[in-house]
Amino acid sequence: MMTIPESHTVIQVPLDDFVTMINNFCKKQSDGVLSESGISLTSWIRVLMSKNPGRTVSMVVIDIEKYFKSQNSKCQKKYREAVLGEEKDAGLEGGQKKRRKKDDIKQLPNVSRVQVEEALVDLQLHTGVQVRFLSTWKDFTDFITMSTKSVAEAPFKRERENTGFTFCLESEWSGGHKVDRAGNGLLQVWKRQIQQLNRVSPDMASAILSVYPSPQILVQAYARCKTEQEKVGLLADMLIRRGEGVTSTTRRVGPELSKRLYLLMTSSDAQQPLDSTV
Amino acid sequence: MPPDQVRLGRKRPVPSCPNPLFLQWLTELRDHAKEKGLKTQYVYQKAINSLKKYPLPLKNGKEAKILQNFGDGICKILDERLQKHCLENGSNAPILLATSCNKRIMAEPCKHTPGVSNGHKKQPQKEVQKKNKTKKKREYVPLKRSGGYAALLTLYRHAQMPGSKGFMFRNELQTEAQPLCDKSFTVPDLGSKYTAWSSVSTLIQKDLLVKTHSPARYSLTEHGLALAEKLDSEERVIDKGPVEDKSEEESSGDGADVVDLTLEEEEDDKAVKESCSRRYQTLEMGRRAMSWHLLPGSYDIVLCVDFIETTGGSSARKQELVKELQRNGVTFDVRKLNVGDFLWVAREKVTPVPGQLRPPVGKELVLDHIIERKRMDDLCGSIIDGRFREQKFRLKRCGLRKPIYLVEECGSTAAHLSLPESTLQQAIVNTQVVDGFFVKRVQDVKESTAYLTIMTRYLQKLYQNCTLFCRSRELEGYGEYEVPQTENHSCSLMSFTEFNHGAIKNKCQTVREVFARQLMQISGVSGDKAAAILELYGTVSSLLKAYDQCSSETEKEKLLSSIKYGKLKRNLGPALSRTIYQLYCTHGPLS
Repeated sequence: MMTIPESHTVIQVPLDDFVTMINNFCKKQSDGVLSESGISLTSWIRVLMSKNPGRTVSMVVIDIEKYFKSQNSKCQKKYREAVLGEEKDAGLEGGQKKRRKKDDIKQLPNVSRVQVEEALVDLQLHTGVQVRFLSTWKDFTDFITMSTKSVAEAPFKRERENTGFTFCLESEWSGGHKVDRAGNGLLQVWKRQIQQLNRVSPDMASAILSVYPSPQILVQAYARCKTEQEKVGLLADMLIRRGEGVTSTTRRVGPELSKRLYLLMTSSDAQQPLDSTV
Repeated sequence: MPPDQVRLGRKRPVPSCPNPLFLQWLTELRDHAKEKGLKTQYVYQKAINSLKKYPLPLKNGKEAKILQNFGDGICKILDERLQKHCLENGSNAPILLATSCNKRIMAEPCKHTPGVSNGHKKQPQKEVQKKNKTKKKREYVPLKRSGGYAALLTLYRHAQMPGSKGFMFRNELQTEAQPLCDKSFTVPDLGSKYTAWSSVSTLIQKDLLVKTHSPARYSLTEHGLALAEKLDSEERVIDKGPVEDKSEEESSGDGADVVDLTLEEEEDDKAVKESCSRRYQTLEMGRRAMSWHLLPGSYDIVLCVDFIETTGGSSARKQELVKELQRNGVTFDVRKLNVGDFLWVAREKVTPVPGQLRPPVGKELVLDHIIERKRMDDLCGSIIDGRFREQKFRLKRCGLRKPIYLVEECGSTAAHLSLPESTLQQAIVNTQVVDGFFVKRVQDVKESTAYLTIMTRYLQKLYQNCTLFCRSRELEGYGEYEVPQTENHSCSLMSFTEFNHGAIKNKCQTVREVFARQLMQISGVSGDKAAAILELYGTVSSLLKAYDQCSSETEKEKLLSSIKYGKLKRNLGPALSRTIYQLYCTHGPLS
């Protein structure tokens, strides 16, 4: 049994590495040259991608907020110390000194949020790779679950959209209308069909429906007309009732819609455009 | 009013007299009196003059009494005539139309405008009119260098070129015709919404041009071909010296060497060949106009913000967007985008021309990155009403190759959203994995603006040394995305006008498209099934014809059942075939 790897790939980047790479990028930005052999996010990803062609990479970083918070508190500490003076630290705060040492070991370069954003944009424009920031490992597993589901459904969904039509029916469409064996439900279908033309309101469709409750009836009415002009204008003067009671108004279907419907039902040219605008 | 009675110069025909019957009768009476040499001719003439000045329709002779020079005598005569008229033509005969009255006129086709039935010119008319004969219409010739002129000539010359496809697309036609026209095809004059392009609809009405298909294709009719040929030969006769210079100026900075070549060609050729090459030159100029480019340093990268993002709804929040961008010093422009909320254009730097208030319109190419911004509550609403899929669909088709979804999460976890968070998150992941969009998550408007700011700056830097070529999607189709690296010094992009026009929401529908949508209104008919049916029956009428040709009802019922659809080539099935048969073949009302 052969397994074909899917193209979608998620890389979880440890926080420390992430921040280091961002820092390298910032240095590169300001110096113009990488002083150490530090690699930036973009170049790292580029190397990865060249080694794994055909893979769509996306990145995850976990709990970057912790980093920013610790950066913030570090800054605040430094500030406090600077303000309060160094004498205090010497004697009394021995414990603090130890703690500071621990911090030094795990000393991460200081990058700001804006710098992170800049590095991300650089990454986006050069590689198209996205980065997702998650707070907890649980979020990470949720994310992987959702990604798995997406990857599984992707081929089916993509095929569904591949109809070759220039339109997408989703807007007012809640699925087709159900029709039973006897044909009940077709009247609703016919009404919805009329509404597939641009700028046809449900009221207009109802008005047309009331006089021509099936496509055949309409087509036969066209056949009974003696001139083309008659056919084009067949529905133009049909009245539409809009609203109820005191605020109700009457309107006509109009010559433009009448013409469009005529063309739709009788034209033998599939590419015939219906609108007369240029 | 029947459409073929529109006269030159007016959009709506104005009836020359609201009381044509009365006018006609009075005139007859006058003429009778004149023949006999009676003085009553002057009486009738005075009544006619008075009636002509009156703008409202009169119901009967008695009503006419209000007019000057209408006394009891004349009114009585008119009433009598009216009675006779009604008896002859039924009591509901329209009194405003004179066509049914005069026997001579009855024999003619209904081409007369009311009020001019008996050949008397009530108002000076542009058409030459012969008494009681069909009007001889003055032939339409578009004004030189007008929109109609340019369009006809361009289509003609395009069709004459070897290997021509016989039609032109909208953008293509606009660009190639522009050098032949004094008015702009794309930018309306101040105070008007019309451009030279508006005259194309006149050409279609006059049966000189046809517009078919979607996306639209324009081609000449036989009538149009004949006229265009005449226009072309007229132009060839006239010395084209000054026109040449103009087109030279208009061709964008291609460099002097290009223009020189053609001049050299000219010098070498003889007179006959000269005119040919001149003709091709205009075409070539047009072609070059399509394939223009922007040199590095000659353009700015400008962020375009859809104006809806800056108005409406909670305007405070939306104004914040603009203010933030201004504070960050971002070069941006608010305009109506037919798709997307933010994008970037490379805009040609233009200098104002002395003597003109508005600087010349700089050419614009649109960059491949396009952003759709979505707040979590927007996302929720659009998933529920189906807009979400439709918007993504349109973004995928707009021609820009790097769509971005900017999601503002704004601490929405507990927010009163109609869908559970997991659904929303899944939708966002799907957008990334299935649709291939770049998803950028931010917390609020401020972060959105920060993102837009940084993107703009980086794009400006990225395209610093890049030469941008205009690529037409109409002619050349979709291309590959090119990253403007420092090594890769050139990119091809779509023009902004072509992009924005192509993304219009309610575009002109074709019969095929609407028929497909109609079929999908039946539950069980999906896009691929509809596509399969349309392979065989592209229009409603062809399907109906096929049903008519069946010899039995059973045959009709089964007509579509073995149509193969989809990747797996499955059968449509007898059930759906039957449903569609019922829909289109039931002679009585449906239920």
